[in-house]
Amino acid sequence: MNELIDLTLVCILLGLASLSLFTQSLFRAVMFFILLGLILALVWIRLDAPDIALAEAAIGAGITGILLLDALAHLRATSNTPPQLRQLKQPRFWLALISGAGVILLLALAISEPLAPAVALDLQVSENLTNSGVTHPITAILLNFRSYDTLLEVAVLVLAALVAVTLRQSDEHPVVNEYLPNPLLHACLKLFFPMIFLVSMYLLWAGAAQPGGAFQAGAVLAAAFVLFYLVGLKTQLAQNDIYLKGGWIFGLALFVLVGSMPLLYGQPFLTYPDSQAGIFILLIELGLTLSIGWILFSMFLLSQSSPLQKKDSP
Amino acid sequence: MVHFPMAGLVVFPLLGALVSLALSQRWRTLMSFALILALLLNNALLLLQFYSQGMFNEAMGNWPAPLGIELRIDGLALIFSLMSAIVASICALYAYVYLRPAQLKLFWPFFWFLWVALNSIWLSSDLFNLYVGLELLSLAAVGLVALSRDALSLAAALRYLFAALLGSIGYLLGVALLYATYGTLSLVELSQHFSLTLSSSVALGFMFIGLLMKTAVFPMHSWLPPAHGGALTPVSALLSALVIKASFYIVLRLWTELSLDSAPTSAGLLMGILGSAAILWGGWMALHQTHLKLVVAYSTLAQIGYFMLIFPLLSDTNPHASHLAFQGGILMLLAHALAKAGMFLAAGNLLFCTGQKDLHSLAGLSRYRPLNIFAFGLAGVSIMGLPPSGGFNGKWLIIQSAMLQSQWQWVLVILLGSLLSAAYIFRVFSYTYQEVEGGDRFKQPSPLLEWSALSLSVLSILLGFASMLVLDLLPSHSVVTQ
Repeated sequence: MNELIDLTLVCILLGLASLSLFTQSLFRAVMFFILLGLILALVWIRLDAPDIALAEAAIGAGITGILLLDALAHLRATSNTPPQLRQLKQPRFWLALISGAGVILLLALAISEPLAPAVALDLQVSENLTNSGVTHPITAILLNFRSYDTLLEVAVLVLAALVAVTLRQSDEHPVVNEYLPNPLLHACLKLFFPMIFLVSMYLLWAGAAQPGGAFQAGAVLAAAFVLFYLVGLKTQLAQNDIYLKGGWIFGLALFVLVGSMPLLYGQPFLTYPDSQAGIFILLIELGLTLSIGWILFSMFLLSQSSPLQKKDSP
Repeated sequence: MVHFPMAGLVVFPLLGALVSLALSQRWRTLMSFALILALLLNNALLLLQFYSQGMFNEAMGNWPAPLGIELRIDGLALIFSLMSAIVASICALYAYVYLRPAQLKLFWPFFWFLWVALNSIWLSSDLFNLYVGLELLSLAAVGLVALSRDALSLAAALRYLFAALLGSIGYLLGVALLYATYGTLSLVELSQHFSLTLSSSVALGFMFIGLLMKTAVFPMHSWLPPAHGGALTPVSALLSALVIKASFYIVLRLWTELSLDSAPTSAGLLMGILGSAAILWGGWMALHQTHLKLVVAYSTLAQIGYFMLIFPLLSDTNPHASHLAFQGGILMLLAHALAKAGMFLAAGNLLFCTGQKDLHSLAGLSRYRPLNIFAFGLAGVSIMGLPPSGGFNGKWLIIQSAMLQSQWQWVLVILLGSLLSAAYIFRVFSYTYQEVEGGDRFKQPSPLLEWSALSLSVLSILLGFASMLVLDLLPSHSVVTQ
């Protein structure tokens, strides 16, 4: 029975992927891509990775979908014609096809060998879990054992937002916002926003013991911000350069600060004080949630015409 | 405070990124230069620490590998960290004078994130951590290319982004395969268990293709000339001198740590052939460019080829010759970082003088702006590999190693490549020596711009005299080819 479910999921996944690639209309391609993200989230659940499933649903399908749709609106506004399916005649299409097939073949060869990992890392994780301050192994890895990776990843996020600003400022055709002045939507949002916020905070809090955490919580928060923006409730905070960038770096700054403190006491970078690791992890995660939500939102915001653009344009 | 100098390499640039995003213009500049000084000092402290206690590891968060991530300072990491500190500080000084305030506002955070990424890559001994470092590096580099904001460089930046992302995917795929096979991400642990099975070879193949794409090794180079040639001058210098070295550094690390020198020679041979093709193609293209910065960018392509010649020469059958090739390669990398940064800055000054990109417009500059031509020429001496320079010593060691191992084909390639580089550098000179009528109609760059270009070029020459000082930091050959 389970094999049947898996087989169906794989078939749907492949079907959606090829539909998304080969459909003529870009809008349809984006829709298929969002669906692909949702199915992929199911696949992650089947693979016993609920954390990744949550992240996939929130970021892969949610925020990425919004950004793609937004980019589409942009393409239309600048009357850039979407690419047509003429690739079949081009040699580069065949080159890509052959290299893709080669990659698949090589991967199949590589995983045909029986896997017998020499190091059992999962055992080490569960042995050290009691000292990590949290009880969920994924959170323990992300924010304690390998927190250095996470620190740098957060830096990557801030940087991505900054690159978006840079590219944004060189755009000559800013899209004029189209709000949806729909009273029903307003009312709904009033009703839903506290709940979305609550879900976000719950994801954050639950991350200590079960699937969840800062990235997922941040993505949900970003979705709430986006809804806010779409109904026309412009957040004044986002119009101000200082608040905008302050929001980006808040989580990273907190992380660096907490991480550097032990250096003063002769401990290695990113060491948490004994027996208080849980509190510090929660503190850092709270900062990260807010910043991640803000960064993901401002990526969306930047694709609209933003105050930064007006200020700096030559 | 024993943990400070090593953590400082990452903490200081991170602080730099934070303050340059948070503070106002004046404080941003002030703090940035204060932090650059702090980083230089930090590097000096680290050097002292290395002299007193040798190679050492440090576990982030006090979790030793393989559970946590360990950073490592050894000779190689230290050399690269010092190199990036010197080049980045001088480029920052140049950028401060050269860029407009609006550009500078975005330059500082990108610059600092770039430095975070570089240092994290030099220090890391964890495969996934290296990936995160690469991601940070590529994004910062793409942002820097997009700073100039004209249509051409935006297109170049996007192309660079796609190439870099493709490279990242290749690397990540390989890391995932290796993790599935060995159950560890720590490079030290991996090297203990590593054997060249089918899945490991496939994994390493993906990783190397990805990394070489990010390094712009022939034939995966086409993103480099528009990105490096079209960027703002201090950015071109940073990219050519430092950024492409990072992915190459990871290839070199993997190759030596996983003892691939005892692998079948065909892998090394393939790397050597790619390198040779890069040397000849890059040199040939540089000879046919009409824009000054594109000449310098194609020269980078050719220089990458020389680095690739290390791999066929690393073998466990002849440790002495192998060690010579390793030393030579490191010297070439260092000399190129200094000389190419100097050359790009000098080229930027020359373009500033004339206000045009075309080589013909350089006519008369030798007479009226000799200092810039001198800086360009000194860097050229090292790039061509004429004595006395770091470039010469590096080339000489590689040639020696190739002769000891009777691999004459590489000697031939190096000689041909040197002739080509001499040709494209003297071609630039020949334009500057042409006499023009109408006297001095060129603009005068500020002395700070001229002297920062010159100082980098002089350093690349001085490296020729101080080579032993640098090479003494590297482990002796018994360790390299263990």
